[in-house]
Amino acid sequence: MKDSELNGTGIGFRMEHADEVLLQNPNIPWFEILIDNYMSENAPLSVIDKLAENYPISFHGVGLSIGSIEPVDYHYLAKLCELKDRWQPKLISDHFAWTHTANHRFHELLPVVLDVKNMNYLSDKICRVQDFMGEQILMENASTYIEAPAEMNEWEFINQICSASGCGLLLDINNIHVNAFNHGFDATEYIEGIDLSNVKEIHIAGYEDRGNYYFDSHSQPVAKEVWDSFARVLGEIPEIPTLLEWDNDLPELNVLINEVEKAEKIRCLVTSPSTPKLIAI
Amino acid sequence: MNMLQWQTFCSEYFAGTKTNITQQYKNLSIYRDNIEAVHINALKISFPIVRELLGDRFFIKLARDYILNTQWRSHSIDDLGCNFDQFILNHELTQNITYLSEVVSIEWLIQSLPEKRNNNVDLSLQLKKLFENSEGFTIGLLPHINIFESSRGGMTIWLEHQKESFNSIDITNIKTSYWLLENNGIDVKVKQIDKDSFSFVKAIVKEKNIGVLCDEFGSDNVIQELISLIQENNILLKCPVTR
Repeated sequence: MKDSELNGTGIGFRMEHADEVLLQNPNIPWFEILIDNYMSENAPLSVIDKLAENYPISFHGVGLSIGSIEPVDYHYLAKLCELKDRWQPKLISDHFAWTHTANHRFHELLPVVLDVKNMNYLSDKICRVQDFMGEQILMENASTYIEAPAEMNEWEFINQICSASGCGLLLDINNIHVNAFNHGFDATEYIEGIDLSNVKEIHIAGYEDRGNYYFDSHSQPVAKEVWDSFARVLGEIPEIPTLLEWDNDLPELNVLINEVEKAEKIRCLVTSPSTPKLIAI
Repeated sequence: MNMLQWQTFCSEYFAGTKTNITQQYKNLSIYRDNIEAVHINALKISFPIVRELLGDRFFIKLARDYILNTQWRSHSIDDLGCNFDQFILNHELTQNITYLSEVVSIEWLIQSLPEKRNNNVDLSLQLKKLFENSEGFTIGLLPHINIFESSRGGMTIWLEHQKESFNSIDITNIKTSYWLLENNGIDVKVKQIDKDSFSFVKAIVKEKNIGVLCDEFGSDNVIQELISLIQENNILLKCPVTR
């Protein structure tokens, strides 16, 4: 019972909710699975087999490490393809980040240098990944706590890579606000700078205010300014599939469903003919 | 700084070999702390009994040492800890706690056992074929089965921490160092086996040809052990594709 496309606002699938989701089939339009969790030998693949029977799913990865100087990791891609064949995800995404060197995997999304040379290098690597996968992949703007060396804005870097490689953009609105606070720029300027025609999916989440910086904790309700920016972006691309991320201090599934309903209310408001494009929530 | 220099700079900082960094990059410590926390948490999840035995502070110290001294290349953080037993065995603070590395091994083995999958193989038919012509067959344990030799008391300690789940085992009546473990998809079952059975199953783990097994253990013993293992659905007989 799979749709041809993802619609509405989905939820990141977490094992803590597995029984409730698989036994009760709650009204959630789609699920994202963190695909790296299913690459180890004893991963609970049968759980996702059941999930994929009932819901459209997307793959979200953290292990591609497109930003590292090492060549494309084809062993990783081969495993990804194996799981893709098994579960037929509607979208496959990862991050503009690096997570490992040749000798060490940090399991952390680290910021990339924003210069022309790296932009061309990343574009080329993404093309190779897409050629291997046989489809477009989406790349997400990552949250950062330090500014890597840069000779351009991140949105210019991302626009150019999407254009050169043909990859889609997974626009994480929470990450924009986290980075805006951490690095002192205007989130609105970032959003206005992004070429929204490249956006194929949106992520929303909650951050943690740690005083002198925001931490992308995925442990809180979505912040007001993130909802505001979400509404602004939906005003331009109203049908875009959206994903609510909540990974830590995981609440009951109902809490997540309430956030999903909030997102869909905003979508309805934005798409209503009588509503101006810019709305405040 | 280009990407190569940046990657090297960050990696050296995370490894602790670069400590002098400018104010501009002071927030690299957020990443360093997060990397450490994520990896220590993964080890806590994989080794809850070892953590309980050592206490939180001691466990975290060992985990931190392990992370700093291990080049980690696996995609999945769930794989972190595969050689933690050897690290514990050789660490100056734990090498005298003889049972500890054994408990680490058991916890790792338990979490690494894949679930039992539906197995439609007709074992009795395979056994019949096996004894019609044994030369072309190899045998192996099913993936959800494994064995463990506990010579330093690690299994007893592990079982002590599992009393609720493993109440079918009388811990005061452990007579062997040899164990067979099975993940049936609901929980992991452990069973005492004798030394001869252990040696035989160990040979099966190496996936020996049936003829080699008969030479080593004697045909009668092989038949007896196989029947026992097959009845308990523990072994997989592999037929050649062509004869």
